[in-house]
Amino acid sequence: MPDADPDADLMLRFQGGDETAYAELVRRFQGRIVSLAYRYLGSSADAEDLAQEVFLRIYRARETYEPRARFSTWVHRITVNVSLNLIRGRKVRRHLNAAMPRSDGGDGGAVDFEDAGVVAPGDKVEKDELAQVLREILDGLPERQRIAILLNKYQGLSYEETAEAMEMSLSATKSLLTRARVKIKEQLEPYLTTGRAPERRDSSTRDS
Amino acid sequence: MTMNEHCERPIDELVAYTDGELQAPAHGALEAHLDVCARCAREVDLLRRSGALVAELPGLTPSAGFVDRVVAATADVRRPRGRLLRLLPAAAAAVLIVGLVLARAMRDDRPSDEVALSRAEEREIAQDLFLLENLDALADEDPEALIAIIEDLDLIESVEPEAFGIFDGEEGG
Ligand SMILES: [Zn+2]
Repeated sequence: MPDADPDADLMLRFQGGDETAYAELVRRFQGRIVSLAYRYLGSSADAEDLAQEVFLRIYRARETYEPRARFSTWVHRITVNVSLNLIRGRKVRRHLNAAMPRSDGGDGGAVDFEDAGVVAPGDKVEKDELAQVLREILDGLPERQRIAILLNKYQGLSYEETAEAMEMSLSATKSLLTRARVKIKEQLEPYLTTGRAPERRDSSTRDS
Repeated sequence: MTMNEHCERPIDELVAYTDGELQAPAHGALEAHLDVCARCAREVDLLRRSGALVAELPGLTPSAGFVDRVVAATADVRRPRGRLLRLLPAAAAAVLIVGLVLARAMRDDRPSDEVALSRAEEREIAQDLFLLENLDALADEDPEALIAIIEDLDLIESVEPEAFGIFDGEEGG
């Protein structure tokens, strides 16, 4: 029997017909999942859409849910699936659009999940230059490495929990995490060893 | 302390150490090693600091009303179509879909003055094309992928056909 898991208890209450327990779960996890989505996508534009999709899947799982893993691990597993599917869906849609050229401007409204990686106008500027460099490094990682490192370092999941969320073996997860950490370290090393903020193309426009 | 740039200590051990994931005997052995190997001590320091930066990245606060919007969106979850498709085995769903596409194509042998496609038909074709693109995902029995595809179909349903650029400029021919 695992440690007490109040989130799993809420899910079981929801399973028993208590809709307020579902709202409580969304309330408890919204910050974590929206932030993870934001970090995964590299932009705030679609972060809430991705998070909403995660919560809708939790809703749909109402009848089939079984508390086998910690609830938070299970939520992260869903988040991983939604995130990776999102990238796949984007590729398919880009393919569709390329195959069928559109006529003129009449773009019938916003299509969700289009082109992440573009900073939305409302995005808060990352004040810390180092954080900006790190964001670019993360964006450059392969999808699975990026999500694994975010689960482990950003969400604070253990190796074991990360492996469960990624549905991978522990050793494969370790190797994924190690590769990501080495890349991040190598690219940050110049900034970490000189102890000064990185020089950036646009840095001259900032101070004066 | 000696500087041994050629120390062969595996990097995954150093990473695991900084993550507090190195178990008992290995942990002590590595700590002893770090006292005598400047190269590994430096690597551990860099790994620790770069890892801490990831942990400290600013998050994003959900906008006001996020919980309410999610709860409101759950009303759509119970729609019959999604439910039916989710209960179908993926392979059967794929067969069904191919059948639908073919049936729709057959239906298209109509008088030539009716060549212009209605918006609903354009939408259906956009959905068919999308499903054909995703047949392998449907066949690999992954319920998550199936749900994702269903949602993409919903997306096609929710935007104007022009957004997909299907058969633009062919009407009135
Ligand atoms: Zn060493």
